[in-house]
Amino acid sequence: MKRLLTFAVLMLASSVALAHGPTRQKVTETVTIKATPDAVWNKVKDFAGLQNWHPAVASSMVTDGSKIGSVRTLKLKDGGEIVETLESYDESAKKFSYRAKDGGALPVSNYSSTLNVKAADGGTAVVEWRGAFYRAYPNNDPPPDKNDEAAVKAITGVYQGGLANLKKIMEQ
Amino acid sequence: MYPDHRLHRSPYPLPAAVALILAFSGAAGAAPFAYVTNQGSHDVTVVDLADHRVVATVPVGTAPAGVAVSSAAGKAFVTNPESKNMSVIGLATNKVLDTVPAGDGPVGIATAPDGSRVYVADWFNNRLLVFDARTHARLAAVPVGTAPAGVAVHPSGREVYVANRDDNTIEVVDAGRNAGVAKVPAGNHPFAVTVSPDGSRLYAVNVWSHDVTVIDTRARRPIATVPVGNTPYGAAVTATGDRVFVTNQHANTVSVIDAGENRVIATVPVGGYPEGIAVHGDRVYVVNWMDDNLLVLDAASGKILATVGTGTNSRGFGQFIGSP
Repeated sequence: MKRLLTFAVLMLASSVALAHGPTRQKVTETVTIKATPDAVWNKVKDFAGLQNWHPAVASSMVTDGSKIGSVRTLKLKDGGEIVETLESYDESAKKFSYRAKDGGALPVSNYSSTLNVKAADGGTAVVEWRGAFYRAYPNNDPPPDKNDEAAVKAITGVYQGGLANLKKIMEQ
Repeated sequence: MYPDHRLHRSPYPLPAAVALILAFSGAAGAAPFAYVTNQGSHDVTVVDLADHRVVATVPVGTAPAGVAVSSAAGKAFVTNPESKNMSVIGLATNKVLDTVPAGDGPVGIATAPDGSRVYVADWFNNRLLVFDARTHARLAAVPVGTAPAGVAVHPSGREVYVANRDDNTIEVVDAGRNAGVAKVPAGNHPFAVTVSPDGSRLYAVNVWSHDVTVIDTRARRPIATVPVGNTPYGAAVTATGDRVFVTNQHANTVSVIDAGENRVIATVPVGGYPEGIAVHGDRVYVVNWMDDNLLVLDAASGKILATVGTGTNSRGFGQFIGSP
């Protein structure tokens, strides 16, 4: 299990330098879990519950549970913080999306993410976690720890680390 | 189907509407193709719209975004913001004919209806670059507002419109003099601009105010603001001008605007992060950046008719459909 979480201190991304300047990046990670979609959804559906299945997260505080607009502050075990706002929630589709203008502990900006549990063959579940974001550094010629590659690597690490652990927990 | 039955009442009797669609469809008899820019795989996916087959993948510059297909010029022009140039693809061969330096951050691109000119928004230099579409020579650099993004040309060829994204205005450029002549207020953070086929209306898509500014091109002033979905990106107009379709990036939907009433009459689910959008005949084509595909929708009902896989991080920013 890879834990490629980089917790560089983030510089606030200038909101002016969207689009060109940096180009938007995306990451999609999936995992197949030998458990029912209902069981997996019950484990991940709580916007305030990421620490229950993601090994890098120590705790979450939320302002309004899993209601649209709820803001969660994740405290990471390595000391960083991430603040995210819940943007959409679909119980029947087993899917929710959230957004973070400032990546916090992650070297990204204008970050949005969707977590979705879908049915797969034989009563199993596929969990898809996908995100869109810009690198942390808004201008050209970014330093290596704030460039596109660093952003993609960090988000990939978050998703892979979380999904691998979720699979482990659900299949015990 | 759209829930609002008024959608099915056309202002034109059906045979006349069909004739108009045929008249505006481009070169008589030639099948159209979609040229979808793939910002992640640095190429263009060419799709035959008769059978939705990918017929070519054309490598271009770095991080292509904007595209303008000109049947009149026989070329597709693509902007590559990260290699700071424009790729010219021949429609007959689907090969790159030329790569032309184009400022420091070419983004939006549009061609004159007669195929004589290419207009490119030079993002970092606040200019509109004017190129000869036949020789690719640069003819002029017109100062415009801050962070010029989308570009559209009036059907007469006499005016060019540029979204000044960070000034919240639309620049009106006189194409004969290659000079800016007016700035029309738009909403917050206008990115794409699209003209109606009869030239009377300009639609500016405002990314941060989540609405579309409807501009009277003759009066050069806004006449309506239409709220759409979350973080809209692009707009396309039907041949008759009766409907405007707008992609909403963060809502994964397309808003359908009744252009006569300037209000949204339907919202249609599409793919993840819908961006580029174009209309051809009775179909709407939507490029989904997150899903890396092109969706084909029936314009009247919003029903998805086909899905075509494209390259990575597909955008299709501009008029991406044309015929050789």
